[in-house]
Amino acid sequence: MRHQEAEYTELRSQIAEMGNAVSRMVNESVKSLVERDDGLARDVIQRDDKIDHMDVEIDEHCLKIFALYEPKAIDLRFIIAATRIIVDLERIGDHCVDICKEVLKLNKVPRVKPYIDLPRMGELAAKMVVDSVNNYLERDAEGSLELIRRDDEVDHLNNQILRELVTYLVEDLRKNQAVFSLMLVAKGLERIADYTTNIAENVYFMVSGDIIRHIPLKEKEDEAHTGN
Amino acid sequence: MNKVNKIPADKVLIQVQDLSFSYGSVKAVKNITMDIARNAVTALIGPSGCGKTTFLRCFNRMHDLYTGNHYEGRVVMEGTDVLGKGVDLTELRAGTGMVFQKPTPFPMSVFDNVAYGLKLKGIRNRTELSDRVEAVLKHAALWEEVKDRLKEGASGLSGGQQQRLVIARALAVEPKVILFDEPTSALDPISTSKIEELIFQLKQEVTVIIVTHNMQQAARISDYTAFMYVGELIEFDETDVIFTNPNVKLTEEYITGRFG
Repeated sequence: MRHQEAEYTELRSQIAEMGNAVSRMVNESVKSLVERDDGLARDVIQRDDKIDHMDVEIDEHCLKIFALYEPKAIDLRFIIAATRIIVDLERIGDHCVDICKEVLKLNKVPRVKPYIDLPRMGELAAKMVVDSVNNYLERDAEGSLELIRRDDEVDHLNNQILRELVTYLVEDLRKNQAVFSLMLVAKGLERIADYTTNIAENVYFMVSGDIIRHIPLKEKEDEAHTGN
Repeated sequence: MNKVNKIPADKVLIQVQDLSFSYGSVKAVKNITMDIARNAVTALIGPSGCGKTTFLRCFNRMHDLYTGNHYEGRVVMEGTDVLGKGVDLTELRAGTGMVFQKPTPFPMSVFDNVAYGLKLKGIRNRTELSDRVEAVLKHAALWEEVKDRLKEGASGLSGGQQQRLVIARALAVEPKVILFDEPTSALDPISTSKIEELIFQLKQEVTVIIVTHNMQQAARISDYTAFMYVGELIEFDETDVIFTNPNVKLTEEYITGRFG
């Protein structure tokens, strides 16, 4: 095997490992909320250091590949996409930390509402993290467009949760601390899903060479089908 | 398999039309059609034996120095087919300079190397010769290094300096085109970078066609890149397209090193 191939294979493993670690953080942030588990929330917060470390390690690996092998064409786009994807994954990790900090506050006060949509939202977001990284590993452009579409569902849930939380606030102002924390949790999950759409755009770029950032979804799909 | 040429008509200096070239019974260049843009650098890349140097040598008919060769098709520069029978080869080669892999200074002084072509063009006035030699050496980014050694033999210069001297010699007769055949493959990285910088600047006045094995070099200095394989033009496009998102799988395999 040529040594570049070995480097690319190692990079793929690193991204897969970082993606797994981050999606687990998303799942467990929501679990710590639902199960009111302070220990788990603290554990997630601590794990962010590991994510930061992976971010730096992969970044350095990409720099090494650029310097030593001067990748071209699909290889170039593969490495460029990696350098961008790790930034999004690292930020998703930061959002998990923010969510868990709110969970620690929430666990100090009585539960204001049953959690139904938030776990659903968390599940969707965590799945989007896993799928976005898998799309990168499998070079799946169609799957990436499909993932971008899924973001609407998360946005919809977020709006629904916010509307519901406002009614709790109007009903009883003493619940404001908990309601604000839950709003931040929902916002965090919504942002996590947004970051996975960034990853999907980078995967699409990697596969096709076309930059689809800042283009509405409908136009992205039309471009994908006309091949322009 | 030849790709659509995207160069606007008013920017085209040379039109290569269905060009084939054979050494005896061996067809080394096969049905190439492409345009060469004026005041731009066009790189020819491809594995050893793909015909890129053979193709390059069609532009100034270097092959005519040997017998048993056969051209088909046309290479039209500003309305004239340079492969035509009536073409004055001396005039063609003065207008289409060539720089080789190994520097080829003449066994004479630095000054005389550059003045040689000017004298052939009938410039005899000593002052005019001096002025032109100085201007050309400055243009070739060599003046500061040789201004005190103009009377010394050119063979005393370093490899990189010799190569720039050869470029100066080609520039002296004010060519329209300069053909470079792996001009830096015998040079160290610093000399290479000086030649690359020079080529990059030269395109303001001349059109450059360069054969290189060094893909980074093609990526760095050229505006257009043609990828050749077994005598055929596989893909021709703007250099950034070739190196970021080529259209043909074979091109991608070659530039990413997955070839063969």
